[in-house]
Amino acid sequence: MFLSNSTLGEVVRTQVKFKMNAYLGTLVSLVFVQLLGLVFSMNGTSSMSTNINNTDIQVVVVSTDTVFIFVAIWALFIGNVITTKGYRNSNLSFVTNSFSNNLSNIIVLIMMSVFAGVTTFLSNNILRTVLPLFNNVDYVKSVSIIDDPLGSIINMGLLICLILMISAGGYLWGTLVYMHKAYMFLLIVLIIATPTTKTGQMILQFIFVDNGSLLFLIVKLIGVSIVLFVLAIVCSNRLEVRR
Amino acid sequence: MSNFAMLSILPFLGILFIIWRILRVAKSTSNRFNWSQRLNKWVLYIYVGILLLAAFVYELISANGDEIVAPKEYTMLKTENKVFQQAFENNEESKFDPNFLVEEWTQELEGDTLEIISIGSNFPTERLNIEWTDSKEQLVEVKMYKTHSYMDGINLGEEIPLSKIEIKDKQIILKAPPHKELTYYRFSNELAALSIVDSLDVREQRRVLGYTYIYLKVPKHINVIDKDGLQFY
Repeated sequence: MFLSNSTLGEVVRTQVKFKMNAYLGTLVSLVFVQLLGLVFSMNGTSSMSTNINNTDIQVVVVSTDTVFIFVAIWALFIGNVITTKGYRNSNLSFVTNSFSNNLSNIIVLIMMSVFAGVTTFLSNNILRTVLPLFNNVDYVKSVSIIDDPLGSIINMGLLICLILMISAGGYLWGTLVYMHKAYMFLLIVLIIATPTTKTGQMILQFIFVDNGSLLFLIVKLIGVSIVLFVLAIVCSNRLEVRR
Repeated sequence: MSNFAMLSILPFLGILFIIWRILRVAKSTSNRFNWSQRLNKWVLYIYVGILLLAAFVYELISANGDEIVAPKEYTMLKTENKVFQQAFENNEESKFDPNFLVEEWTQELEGDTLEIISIGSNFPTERLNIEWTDSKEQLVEVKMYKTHSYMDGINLGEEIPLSKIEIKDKQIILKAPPHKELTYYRFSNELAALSIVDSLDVREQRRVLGYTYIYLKVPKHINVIDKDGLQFY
């Protein structure tokens, strides 16, 4: 018998609030990771060149790809880190069970992914402003948020979903590692196996290539994220005693 | 596993290691220093503020005079170039777009020989064609045309220097412009990695490459010496 009965929603809300405050440092690390990515982006992501009348013309395209690679790896580690012992111990402050703990972790990862996605998208504007000021080159006025608001929202959504999927992968990885240390090497095996095996290539092609539109890709990414989170919850439920 | 696949994984593993080190250092630093929550919040507020400010400032920056051409305009520009090229090859001067005309000269020759010389470049930078006329005079007409050149929204026609034409009594000397390098930055909100095939197509569509054309009207009795093989048609 308890003096007060808390619903699952209340428990999760309290945990999310606490965890967002406790994990604020991870968002600061995201800022540094993005700044590092921006430094590496300064030479451009791709370029196109041609020669007309003895004049070499080069158009350097600066996109968010490099920053995204850095943020994706950050997301992988963050998904993993919140399943580690230190972070799990913080749950002792709450009356909780495995499900509410997982649910709050997932919500925290979603919120972090939204922040990471939006800031990754906006980070391109720093280069847009800084590069023309400090480089003696011309630049082409490119599509901005105001020019194409719908396209910007879709691209932002795509970044958020990609980061969420990667953090979900990290979360599942972390849960597996918590079950058995041998799973630590799973990530390395997956990184090498996915692009080099036929099955891995088929999975990558199904997710990233066979898409009619970016919206379809977003739906697929959300689907994959849900599958990864459910797998993590199922694996986590098998851990009855805290180790 | 191919060597290429192995090599393509190496940078990824390198970045993985760098991020892992950053997180480790961040963790150990936060353990040693009392990095307060308030400071964390301020760092995030300032960063988000800078991002929003950069988005606002970008709208105010002018684009060095370059102009954006809508995708459907490229088709029109390509068609105009193609029509000119065909008319040029077929010696149909009446079909030449007068907007492409850059300069024209008339020169009276001494003797019955005209030599065309190209200097300043290993490869000819101009396309040349000769229309033979029935005139008995010694007059040679020279016209220089330039078709549209756009790349990724940049009007290259304004940036690319033209060949110089020097006409002497028995010679036409085409001087290629000095070597020049132009670099432009173009920014994209899209992840290039996810739309590499599409973006290559789109970028190819956004490229219109024009040429410099030299059109000569020479009387039939004049012997033209074209050592550099400038006359393609």
